[in-house]
Amino acid sequence: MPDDLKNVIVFTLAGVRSAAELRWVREVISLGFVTSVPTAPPGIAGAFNLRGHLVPVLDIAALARAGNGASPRQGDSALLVEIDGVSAALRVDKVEEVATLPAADAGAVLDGRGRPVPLIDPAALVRQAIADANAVRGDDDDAPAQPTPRDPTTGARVRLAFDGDTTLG
Amino acid sequence: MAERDLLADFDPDELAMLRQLFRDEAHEALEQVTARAQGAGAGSLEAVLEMMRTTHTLKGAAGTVGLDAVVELTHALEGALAAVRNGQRPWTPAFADAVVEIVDGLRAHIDAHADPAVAAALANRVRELLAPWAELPRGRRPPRDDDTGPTRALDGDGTVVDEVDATATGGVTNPDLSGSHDARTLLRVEPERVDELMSAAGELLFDRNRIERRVQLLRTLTRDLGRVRQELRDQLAGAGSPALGAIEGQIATLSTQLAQTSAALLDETEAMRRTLGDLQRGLTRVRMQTARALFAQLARALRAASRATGAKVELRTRGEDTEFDKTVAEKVTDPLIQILRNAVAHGIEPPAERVLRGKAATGVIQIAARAEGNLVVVEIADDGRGVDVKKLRERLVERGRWTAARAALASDDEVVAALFDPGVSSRDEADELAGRGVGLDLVRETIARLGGEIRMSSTPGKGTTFTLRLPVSTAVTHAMLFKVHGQVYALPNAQVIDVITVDAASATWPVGGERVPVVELSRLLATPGATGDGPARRPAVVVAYADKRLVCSVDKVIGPREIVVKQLGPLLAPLPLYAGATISGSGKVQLILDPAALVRTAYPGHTLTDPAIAEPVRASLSGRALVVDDSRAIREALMSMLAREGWIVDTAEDGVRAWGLAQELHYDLIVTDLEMPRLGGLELIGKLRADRRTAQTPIVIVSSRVSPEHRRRARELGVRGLIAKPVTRRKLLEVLYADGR
Repeated sequence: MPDDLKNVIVFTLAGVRSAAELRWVREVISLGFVTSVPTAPPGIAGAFNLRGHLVPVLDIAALARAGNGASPRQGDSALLVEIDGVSAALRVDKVEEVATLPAADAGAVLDGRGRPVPLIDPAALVRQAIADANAVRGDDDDAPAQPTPRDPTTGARVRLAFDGDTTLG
Repeated sequence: MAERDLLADFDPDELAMLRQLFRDEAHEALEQVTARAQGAGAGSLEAVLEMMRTTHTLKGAAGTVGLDAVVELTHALEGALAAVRNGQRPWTPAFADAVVEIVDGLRAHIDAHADPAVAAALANRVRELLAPWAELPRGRRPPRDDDTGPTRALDGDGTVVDEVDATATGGVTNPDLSGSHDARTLLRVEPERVDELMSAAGELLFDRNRIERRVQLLRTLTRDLGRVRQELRDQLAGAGSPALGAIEGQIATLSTQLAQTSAALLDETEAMRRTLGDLQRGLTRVRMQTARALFAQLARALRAASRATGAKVELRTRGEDTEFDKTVAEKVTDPLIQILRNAVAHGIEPPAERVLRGKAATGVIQIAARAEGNLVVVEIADDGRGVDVKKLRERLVERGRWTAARAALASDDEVVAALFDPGVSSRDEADELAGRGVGLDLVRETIARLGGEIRMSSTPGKGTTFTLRLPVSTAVTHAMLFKVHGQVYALPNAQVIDVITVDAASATWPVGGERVPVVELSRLLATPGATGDGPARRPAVVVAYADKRLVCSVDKVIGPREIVVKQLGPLLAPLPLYAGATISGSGKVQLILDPAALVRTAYPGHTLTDPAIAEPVRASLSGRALVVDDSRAIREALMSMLAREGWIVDTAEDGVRAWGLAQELHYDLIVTDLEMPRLGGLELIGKLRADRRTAQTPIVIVSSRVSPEHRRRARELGVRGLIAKPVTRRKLLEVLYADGR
């Protein structure tokens, strides 16, 4: 395929058509019941259960610092993306099409009628969300002994059960 | 196989372990046979075939671990069943009974491995039982059985009996059931029973906490009684009534005894807490096993696979002592064997090819297990040819799995990951070992169902590495569930000591004679659009963590439940408030709060990033105080007095312990005795003053030695006040609030 063609998925969000490169998108899903996560940064709009896995729902607008998007609800469409092994759902209003479109200048593709459709970068959004989440944890590093250390790769709490003294049974 | 041959294959420990595995397996297999012989549809072709399969598998396993007598007996049983299958003998109630008896006998024989004489006698008993049905000559030699695959033997029609070779010689009463290394009798317990015990131990912890609260109350009442007695004595002074004086004396004696008893009770509840902790840890350990057994099974599978392909492979293992839950170990065995077979079938090149590529003729597969937090990481790495990404990419398109466009766009890692998709294989022809394209998708599914994950990475020409991340345990945990703003949250039950009702407006609440900070979860867990104030009285859970307690007010308590903990992942894990999540029966995600984070929220002196969370609680408290005294009674008295003023109080029995605590935690007040073991009060104060963090901390001395010299030194050290023992509340408050604090 020539360099100037991109496989993209075109969707609308708050009335605006946008596209994401297909290589990041595992599948298009319909959200299950979304549990809100208090204290999470605005970019993380909640979490839901996808086939037994906990998947965070991300707010594209908030992550792009373009205000907060609509709260995700059960049945909403979302793009399931996986970046560096991290899965997340990007809520969208409507998925329009999957297409191979010529790249326009500066982060956009041209649709069938030659109109530019801005490209979002799911990888950057997910990394932004991780950075935002880490910013919530903030600077309590010098607080006396974080009582339960976390596994850095999975984020799992290391100890949780019985007097905080044994592994989770 | 004789013991000598086996020991060439396994080291004694490995053999002992394999035999233990065999015994577990045999119990399950024999139970199945019994169930089939007695259950509905007994005697049907299907039932008989299943019994044959089970028996055959058992025979193969017994052969591998060198239990010749079991091989012989299961072989005979299989023969007897084959006669039924072939229509040579009808299925009769008598035969069904005989099968059950034979199976019982086999079980007893297998269990009697520790005593060769008993085992031999039991084997003979089974031979007798079998004799009418299987025409088994007494004391015949066991058959050779190199075929351990269940399917092959069943392919032949009615040939199972024919396999018995006729080289019968006398005396099978060999003692190989009793190798000295497996003489230890091991207990076999259903995991559910251990879970029940763990649950009961958890309940005990809850009970203990309730008892402790009662004891605290008793101590408060005892102190009150002492005060009443004091008042009585003051009233009686000068009244000159000997009778009343005598009664006052009796009350004094009783009051002292009561105080001593309740102090002793408190010590005992403390001892109980430790024992309960040991109990729970021990029970957790019961379910754990090391990776050793798993590795030994993998080693066997690898030997079989390399025999089949002619590949020369050396297995290196690391982390044999890594522990994980028995259930996880069992469930992960088949996926790991599949990965090993893949490595042999797809990865390791034939010796000649390896030499051509400049590699050692013998391939190396490394298996390493290690603990990472509450995960076990298992890595399987081979030094074979790796995945031919180019070819795989082409194949994905050829087979119509991917569009050419997708294949062109996908990175190498994504292409390799496609091997986990159903129906994708990198090998051209399906062979016995792997390449049917039904391997890795099942592997991934099994691992995912366990709550783990699998990754694959490959370097062409260098080899392939699989990385599995598995939960240490899949066992459920107990949690207290409650609702806040309509959403359900959980707290680990181990840290929840009570469910109470509190006034919504209170910043602290008495728990066990101590005023404990109240955290309004409706505020902490505010969601957009959540409504404001709730009712004036609301339910609350009392949380104890790391010797600290707090009360969390909620909207509604749902109650204790068993939950399976899910990891939060890199996006949610950084949020300090959550320890994990669980998925409800209806498929909703429920967040598990981290008791440690709640404690940090409730106790001042810990920097919190969100002032909106920290301030309301901080403002309501006087702060956090440390009481240092070698007398427990005085510690308790000071603690009680300070708690009543809204202080959160920690105690230390000497200067060393106090110094340790002051290093770890921020204190707004330190009250210390002077004469103490290990490190005295003045020395402690010296150290505190020399440390930047405690240089300014208000310090009050409580001592029976109050000389002018002491007062001078106390002033030099910047001590706020000096109280002469006995301490009273009034004296304490005077010192604390003297200069307009």
